[in-house]
Amino acid sequence: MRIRHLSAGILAAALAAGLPTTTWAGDKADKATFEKSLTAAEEARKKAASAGGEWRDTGKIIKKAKAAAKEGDYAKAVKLADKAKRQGELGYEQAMDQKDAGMPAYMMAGGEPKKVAGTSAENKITAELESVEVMHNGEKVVVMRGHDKAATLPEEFLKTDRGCPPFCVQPLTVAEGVETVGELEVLDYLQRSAKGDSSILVVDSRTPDWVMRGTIPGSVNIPWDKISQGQMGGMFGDAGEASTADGILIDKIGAKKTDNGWDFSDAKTLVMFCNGIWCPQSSSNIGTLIKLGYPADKLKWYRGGMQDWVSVGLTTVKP
Amino acid sequence: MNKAIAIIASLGLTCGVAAGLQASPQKDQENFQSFYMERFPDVPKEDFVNGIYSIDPAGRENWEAIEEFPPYETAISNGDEMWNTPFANGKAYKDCFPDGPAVAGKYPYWDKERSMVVTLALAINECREANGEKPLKYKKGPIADILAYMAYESRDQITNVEIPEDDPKALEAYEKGKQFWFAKRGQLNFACATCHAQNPGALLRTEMLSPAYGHTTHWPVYRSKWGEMGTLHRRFTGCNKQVRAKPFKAQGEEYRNLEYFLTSMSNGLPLNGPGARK
Repeated sequence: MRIRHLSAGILAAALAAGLPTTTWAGDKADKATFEKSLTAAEEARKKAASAGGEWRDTGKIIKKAKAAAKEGDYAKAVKLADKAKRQGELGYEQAMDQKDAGMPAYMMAGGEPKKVAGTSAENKITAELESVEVMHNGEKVVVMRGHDKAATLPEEFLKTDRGCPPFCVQPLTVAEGVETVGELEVLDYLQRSAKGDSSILVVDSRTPDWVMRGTIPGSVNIPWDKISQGQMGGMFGDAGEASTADGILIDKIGAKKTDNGWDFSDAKTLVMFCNGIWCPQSSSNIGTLIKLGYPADKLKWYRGGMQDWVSVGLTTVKP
Repeated sequence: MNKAIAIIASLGLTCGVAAGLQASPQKDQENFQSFYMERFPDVPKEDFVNGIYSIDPAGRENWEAIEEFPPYETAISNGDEMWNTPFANGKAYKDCFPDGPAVAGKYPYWDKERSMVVTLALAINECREANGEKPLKYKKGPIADILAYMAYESRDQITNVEIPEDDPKALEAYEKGKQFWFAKRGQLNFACATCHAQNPGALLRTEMLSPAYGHTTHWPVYRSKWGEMGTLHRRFTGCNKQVRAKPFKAQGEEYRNLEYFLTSMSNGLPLNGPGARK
């Protein structure tokens, strides 16, 4: 799944990057604009190269851009430089995504990953539970602990000083009546959902840039700002954001909008999480939903979030 | 090419999530080899050393005809001459390789003291430099000649790359090589594995993709497309360019680690270099 989405994404992007693009700067390009674009392109190229992800033609495109600029065709030069920059960015993104590439399941005997003898028993989820099968975007994913004794936290979860506000320590209970849950409960909800219980939705409240680095298999991403800012800001007039937020509540969560306000009688049980105890996003969402009248007993809060999930080496997926 | 992308994209649908289980090199090797043997059950294990010709009967016929007057013979005799011609300081290759030219089976190996993978091509240039000679360029020309001679003298030695367990850096180099082989790269987003593990036997335009098992046994090769001899790292460069990735330096760390991993995957296969390919 990770593979499919990535290939589709990068291929589409790759094809796009291979095509001439129209650039806003095209019409009014001058030397200064070009130099700015060129610097950005060079930086993007170098960044990709530093990760071993530079593409074949990026350097050539930069050369062509310089040649065009020399002839005074700044519109063309800027266009080329921007294309090179895009290639650099994609190459870097690709290298980052592939940095943990290893032998894929199809090369393992029988098409299933072979377990390393002797290690599977050594890192179960609980003494009785080795793995849980969940569904992520319609595909099965086996959630288990890692089997690498040298494994450590991913880089994005190493920091201890992120600044409060906004990254303040969250309370144990986020709101009255909202149950705080842990990993095992989350796994149970995921399993029930995978078995066809459509009344449950595990929600990753983080913004998509975080989700791209990995999320809990089986969760869906509803960025916190889409709900909280939309609903709260919407009351004061941003109709666009408000209607996005309404759409999410109606389409994904099963709420109904009536003349008397929201009807949550058929709404799903939401299991919400973000990055963990230092992350206010899911808390903020829960606050918003309760203000709208969402029944507290249909809201569960996984306080530990991604920070705790990765700290015990549970499987993550990239969307 | 569009067709290939479509095939690969559709294959992606079925392969699911790659589990992050890190297997031992030994386990990797078993999985890797049995993958190809199950994929091509009619190919005898030893025949994988013949690369594409183990699975392409039409190509094999042509190749066998070519092998009657091997196009790499000149390279072998040039290399023989290089081996027997002393350097300016009076010493020769045999002073660096006291066991003689038939040592290709010992490479690549992990040099614990220097904490790096040493390939035969690298050892040859280090020998030259230690004796005041200019290093050779790594992709073609005289380096391919001397390698061809040494490969010829080493025929039938058994590939046996060791990943020493007493040095975690060795395993790290191996894992880097493995990551390289399985990582998608370039504008076309292909990994080495995309062609040579997911799609061996499939056609890219008119050319059939070769299985990776046995990829390292027959270098250097005379390639008709090149019209001359070339080294394994020249081929790595070409493959990377074809997927529109910027190639790495021949004999740089990336390609040496890649050679280390890839050669170890063919452990147990006899060496049959130099070779001839389309």
